[in-house]
Amino acid sequence: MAGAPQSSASLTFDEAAHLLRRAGFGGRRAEVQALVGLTLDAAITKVLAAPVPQAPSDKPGPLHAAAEVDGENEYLMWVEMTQYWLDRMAKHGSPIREKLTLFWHGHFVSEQSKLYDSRRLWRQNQLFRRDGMGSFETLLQRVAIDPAMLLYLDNAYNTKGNQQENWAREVMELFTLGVDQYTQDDVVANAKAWTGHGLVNPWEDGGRTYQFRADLHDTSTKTIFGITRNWNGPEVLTEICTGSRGGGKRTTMARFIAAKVWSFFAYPNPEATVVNALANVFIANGLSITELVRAVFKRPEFWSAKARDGLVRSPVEYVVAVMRGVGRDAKDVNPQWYLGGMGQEPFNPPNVSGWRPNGYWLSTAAASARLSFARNVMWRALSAEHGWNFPVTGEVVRAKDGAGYRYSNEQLVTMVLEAFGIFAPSAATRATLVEYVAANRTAWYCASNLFMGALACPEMHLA
Amino acid sequence: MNADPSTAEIIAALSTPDRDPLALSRRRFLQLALGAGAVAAVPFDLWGADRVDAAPLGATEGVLVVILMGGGNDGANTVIPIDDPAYAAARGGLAIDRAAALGIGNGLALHPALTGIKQRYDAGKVAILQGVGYPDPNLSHFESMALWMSGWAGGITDTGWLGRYLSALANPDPMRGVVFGQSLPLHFRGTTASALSLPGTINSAVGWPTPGDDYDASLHQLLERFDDRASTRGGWATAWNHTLGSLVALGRQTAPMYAAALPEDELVADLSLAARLVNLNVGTRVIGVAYGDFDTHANQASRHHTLMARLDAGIEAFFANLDPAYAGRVTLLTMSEFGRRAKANSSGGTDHGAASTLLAVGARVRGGVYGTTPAMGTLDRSGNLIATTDFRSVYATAISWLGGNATAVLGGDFGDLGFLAPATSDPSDAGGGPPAGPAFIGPRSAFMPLTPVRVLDTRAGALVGYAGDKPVPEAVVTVPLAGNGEIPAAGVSAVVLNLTAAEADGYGYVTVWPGGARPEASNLNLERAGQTRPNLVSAMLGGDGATRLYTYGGAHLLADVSGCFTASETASAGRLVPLAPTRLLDTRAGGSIGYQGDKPAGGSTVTLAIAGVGGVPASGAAAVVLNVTATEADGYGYVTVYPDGAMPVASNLNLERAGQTIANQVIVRLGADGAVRLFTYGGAHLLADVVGWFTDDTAPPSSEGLFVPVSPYRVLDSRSGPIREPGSVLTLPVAGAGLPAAGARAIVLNVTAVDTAGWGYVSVYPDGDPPNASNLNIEGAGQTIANHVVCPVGADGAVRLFTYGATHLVADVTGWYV
Repeated sequence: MAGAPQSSASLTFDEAAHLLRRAGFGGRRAEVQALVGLTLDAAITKVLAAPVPQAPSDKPGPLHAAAEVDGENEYLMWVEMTQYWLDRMAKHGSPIREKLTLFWHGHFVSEQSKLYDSRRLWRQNQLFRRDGMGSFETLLQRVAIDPAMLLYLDNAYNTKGNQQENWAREVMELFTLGVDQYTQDDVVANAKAWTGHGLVNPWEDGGRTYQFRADLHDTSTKTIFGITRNWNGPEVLTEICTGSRGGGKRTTMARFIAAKVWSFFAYPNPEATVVNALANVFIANGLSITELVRAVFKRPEFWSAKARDGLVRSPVEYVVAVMRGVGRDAKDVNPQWYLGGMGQEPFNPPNVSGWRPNGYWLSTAAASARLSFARNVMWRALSAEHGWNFPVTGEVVRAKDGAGYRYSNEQLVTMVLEAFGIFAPSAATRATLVEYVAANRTAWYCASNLFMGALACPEMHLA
Repeated sequence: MNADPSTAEIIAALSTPDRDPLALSRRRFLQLALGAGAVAAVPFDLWGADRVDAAPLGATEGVLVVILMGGGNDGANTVIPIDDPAYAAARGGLAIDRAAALGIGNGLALHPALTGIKQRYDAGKVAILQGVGYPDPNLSHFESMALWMSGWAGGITDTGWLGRYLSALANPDPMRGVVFGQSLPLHFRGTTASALSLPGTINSAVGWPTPGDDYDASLHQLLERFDDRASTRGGWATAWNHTLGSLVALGRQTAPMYAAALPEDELVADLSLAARLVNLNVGTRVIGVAYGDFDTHANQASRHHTLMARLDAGIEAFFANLDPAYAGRVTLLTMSEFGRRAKANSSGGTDHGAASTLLAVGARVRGGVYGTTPAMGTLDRSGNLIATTDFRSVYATAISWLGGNATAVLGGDFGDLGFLAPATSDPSDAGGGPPAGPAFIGPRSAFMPLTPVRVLDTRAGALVGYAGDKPVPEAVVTVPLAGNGEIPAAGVSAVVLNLTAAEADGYGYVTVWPGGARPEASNLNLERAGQTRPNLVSAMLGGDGATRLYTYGGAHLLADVSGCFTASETASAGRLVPLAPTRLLDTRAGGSIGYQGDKPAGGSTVTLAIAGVGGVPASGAAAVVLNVTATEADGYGYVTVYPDGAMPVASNLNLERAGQTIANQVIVRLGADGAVRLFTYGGAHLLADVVGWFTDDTAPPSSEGLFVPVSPYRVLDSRSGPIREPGSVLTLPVAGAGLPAAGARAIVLNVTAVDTAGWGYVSVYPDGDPPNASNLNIEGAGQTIANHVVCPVGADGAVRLFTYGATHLVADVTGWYV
């Protein structure tokens, strides 16, 4: 791969494919081709064009749409919203918006297993979708008083004289500033500042309505980040997002968020120069998330081999890539049966710090779950009765014309890999698959295992 | 992460593995070994070659199976305090009927469903660990479970106790830790290594071969093939390929486990699989299974009965599936986040509680009840049982048994409860239970103090009881004692010797034993040529009235007798009254005890009043047991401790150089004035701790405090595991139920510090906190030094060994006081 494209240079096919994989969930050949020849700036503008969807009126399915929710249906509601979201990622939504919704879900973590009522998670998901590309401060303020977060980090129970520090700590440690960027005294004072920000009733109205109870709010004078005043919770977030003098936290916050966004789109542990440059853009653009992401894509490091090889696909990204490859919705491939085994159930991050990248996804058990999902998809994709029209079936492998096989071993491998958006496989991957087809061409399972080989090859598991 | 954990962090317990994939792959090694060129050239027909190289278990490596009882198991209805009147009162309708409960004595009974466990308990294969919990109990499932899973001195962490054990292994092969289930719970998650999770069934899971399925076999070949070629797509692509290779290797390795049909019940099936995994002998050290739900707020009677029956069936299934060859290797241990409230609630259930009961089951379990059973009527302010045993001390015992460094794994020293005997590969020894006892056990005997007299000296020019040259390596010197000097000719079972090895040729040790096969034991140690070392020995006599001295290296041997034991079922005089160690003498300025004046000069004698001091009665004591230490020696010298009158030709301590510190135990008759004398040949500070006294003939006749001499046998050798950490306490069971010294009030040990890592000391004491007294002094690294120890046995049948500096410890029993 040559060096990074210049802003005014036209994108190559490989570069366009890389952009689409990172800005979304991978592109088909035609989608990639549509970016080729555009300047980098134009291509980025195109992938970032994502209209704000109607929300939250759209319901993921009939269970969520029902007036009364039956707690017994919690699992089915989870399936409903998981499938709905995966479908949005695969084809119905805007790829970059869904990608950022996934990012914010892993950042502003809440878990269904603590909240019980899936509708809370769904409303939060809609919040990420609606506000996830706008102002970070707006997003932060809205997440803070959204019922899912109020319950998940216990601020719904944070009242004057009975402080709960959970949210007060995590909002600084995990959501805005990073560890050691505040003191324990800040945590205690922040908890006081957030007293009284709760719900009308956590358990009786589905916990859906935020309210501020002045009578439960601690109005005492508190010192946070060295500033002494009668803090109220949202003011602390404003200070984090705007404080720029003295001990102001804005730069710390901007670097923390920039590093995390970079790690999601490019590679973990970015260089300080990258982080600082991104943070400056973030601040200069009023904490616009879209502009931060644009800056990520414009960095030369984003186009480096380190970035291209630097991320393992998360299970959700893998599942969506498979769905796109076979052109089927989630209800046809049932990823919900396998996502837990792969290690990433949407709406159930492992803990408040979210999912971790790369090595986190690589274990034998998780690999088995990925491949078991693949095999479940394969049986249907290659069976005529399902009518999925996958390009390489047993018949296609065996098809002959006067000169012998209609397709060479190499052609079959290319067809299967391209179906899954792998346009430039490594020589090792291609050789392994070509050798496999050559050695097993007459076996009944040749197409089956060629399909499995495409879904098992390393390119399929890199983001 | 977060010092104030949220529920979320506990849910981390239910996530999938997180580990460095590069540490995963044994196939990576294979690739390196083959070289890149060879990899590209491996032909298809070699694909099926066996690539598995998981190491089998080492000869003494144990396997721990942890059964997690999620939801909070009701310990009081698992092992029922049936004689505690508060039990029935608190539990009401949930109280288990005495007639139905399976009584095991000690006021305890097992739940009626635990019939298999009852049989195993009766056979001495079950340890009941009572009152297990932690201070300030947390009643949240999540937080308490996180504490239990973390098993960390400082509280909740993002790694678990078994994960940290796995991470510290020298060869963290992926098969070392295995959890059955879909996810990896926190207690199996480590820093650099974690457990693997294996499915409870392999239906349709890619990676596990289906016999006779050529499609399946072909797919697995293809997956391995990815791992045979270096990827040009960087480290993560390579890591993914390794994961594929490892998956196929793992599937091939573990597929046999799944071949035989499995019971329907998930716990019984998982424990069956756990046993089959042990049978595979692929080096697995820790295995996890889990079941529940134990959160019996309502309708507890039937639910808990079912859960207990499943546990019993699961444990029986485990042993039914286990190859007997591995019986001496495995221990099953239960854990749960808390017990239940003492008082039943109004829903026929119990609410979240605190202290609970754990069970350890296996051939190497030293059966019995450990820890104090919490009183059902003495509760904390939440109405919960109060913990008497820290759960991390259970972990410490298990980690030490596994050969791990418990202090490092747990972030602190939690002692060793002593309920596990070392694992063994010898199936004939799989009976486990207590350590092998002594070859010979003598009669109960009363102590008779004697004026110290030399009975052996091999040095030319000073020969006593010996004719010949300096003992050569492996020499055995027989010392006739019955009828020697003041020692009676008949009825003598043992003597108290002060043994000295002098002018050593080099490294060596001396073993004193009554006869028959020489046991694996030692009484004193020599570190270098020219060394002189003494030690006290309680020496059982053989049938010929003699004792034997074996010397590993060439050395002169000297022996002074200061008392003897005569057989007697009851006696007035000569019965030991053990005391908690108390310092009677310290001549050092600033710490002066029992002494006023300057540092004792060479040639001086310190008179130390004993009668009426430090727990020794003003009258009625015939002799005392002292630990005498000489420190800050001016140079060469020795110390002789004697009652009164003329100083005998004998010595108790030898000093070889300036600055030296050395200790020895002394059993000495009291002088007519109730005092003893300490003569020092060279200037030195002197310290003396009293640890017991012997009755005189004014005492009533009794058997209490009589000595039972035995041929020496080893009860402790830490060298099979990690070194004892500085500041750590090792709990050594010696006299509890089922132990060879059962019923002993005080134990006589020869304790040796071996392979010391630096300056320090060792204190041996019954229980409670380590005393301000020492038994062994260590002056630096690389030392091997021993001392005779008489120590009262703690209430739990154990004694404790506190080590100030890092050292290995060895202990041999030479007798006990009843």
